[in-house]
Amino acid sequence: MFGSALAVLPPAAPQEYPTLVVGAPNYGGRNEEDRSGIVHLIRGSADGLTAARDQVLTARQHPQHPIGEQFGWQLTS
Amino acid sequence: MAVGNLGYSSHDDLAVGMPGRDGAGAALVLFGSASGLISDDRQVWDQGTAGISGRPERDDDFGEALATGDFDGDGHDELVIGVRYDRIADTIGAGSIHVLPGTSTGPTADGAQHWTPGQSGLLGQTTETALFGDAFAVGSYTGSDHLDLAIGSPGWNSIDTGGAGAVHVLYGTSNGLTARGNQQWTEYDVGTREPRDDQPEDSPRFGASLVAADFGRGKADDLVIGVPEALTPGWASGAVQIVYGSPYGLSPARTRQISQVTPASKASTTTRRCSGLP
Repeated sequence: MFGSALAVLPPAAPQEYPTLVVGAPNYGGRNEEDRSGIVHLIRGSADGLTAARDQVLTARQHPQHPIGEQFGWQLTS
Repeated sequence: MAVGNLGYSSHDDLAVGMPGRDGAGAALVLFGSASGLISDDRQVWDQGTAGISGRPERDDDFGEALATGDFDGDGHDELVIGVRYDRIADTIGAGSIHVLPGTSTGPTADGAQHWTPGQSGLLGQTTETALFGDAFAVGSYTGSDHLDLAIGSPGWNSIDTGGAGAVHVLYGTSNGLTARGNQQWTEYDVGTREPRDDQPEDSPRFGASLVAADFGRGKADDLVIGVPEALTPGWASGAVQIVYGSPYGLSPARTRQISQVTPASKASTTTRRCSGLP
C-alpha cells in the first residue's frame, strides 16, 4: 500500500525543493501482524522528484511496538 | 478536515467533515479569530441546504473529503466538499463534489458548483462506486495566479481506457473552476497500463490519495497520485505517479512513477497522452 497516504514537507531553505512523504503502512509482510509499516521521504530537485537520496522512517526507530503498527497509515504536514 | 481563509477575517478557518451525520453527511465551518476558532457564524452544509444541488441520501459520505483554495483569485478561498458515494441518476456511488464560492462572510451557496463526470463538460462518465471526490489536491498546475483542483476517483473503471481509478483536473479562472481544458487521468494516460489490459479483479485504486507542490522541473505545481494497490514485483505493492505541471497545465509528456522497487538511480519516465489535452 505504498502511496495510500501522502504529504509534503516544505523546503528547508528558499533555494531548495519540497520533500514528498509517502506512507506504506502494510510494509513488512503478508500477515497482518507483520505489517510494521514504513514512511519514505523522496526529495524534490531541479529535475523533479528523484528516488536518489530517498530516506525512510520505520516504527522501529520510534518507541512504538513495531509489530502490526501499520506505521504511515495517515500523514499530514 | 481542511484549513483555509474562508471569510470574516484574515485568520485561517476550519472546515470539518461529518460524513455520518444524519446518515448522509454534512460539513461544519468554524471561523478563526484573534482568540482562536469561534462558533459565532458557524455554518453547516449538507445536500439539504438551500442552493446545494442533489439530495441527502443514506451513506452519501457528504464531507468525507474537503479542500480549500482560491480558484477565482478574489482573495477568499472556496470550499470543496466531496460526496464520494453520491448517487447520480441510477449510478450508485458515482460520487460528486460541491464547490462553494468564498466571500467576506464565508462560503455561500450563491454560485455554488456541482461537478460529476460526464456532466457540465467534465470528461468521463459516471460508474458505480467510482468514488469521485474521495481525495483532493489543490495547486497551480499552470503556475498562474489561479489555483486548480485535482479530484480523485479511485473506484472508477472503464474497459475502454483500461485501469481502475481516475483523477480529474479542473483549472481555475477569474470566474472560478471551469470545465474548459479539464483533464481525466488514468493509468493508461500515464503509461503504466496498456489499453484493453483491464482486469476486473485488479483494483490499483489510482487516485486514492493526492498531493500537490512544486517539486522541481519548472515553476508550476506538480501532482502526485497515490496508487496504493498497484502491482509491483516482490512483496511490495503500490506506487506514486508524478505528473509535472507546465504553463499549459499537467503534461502527459512529463510523468514519472516511483515505487518501493524503483532503483535509487532511476525512476521510470513515460510519455503518454492524457484525455482532454490537444
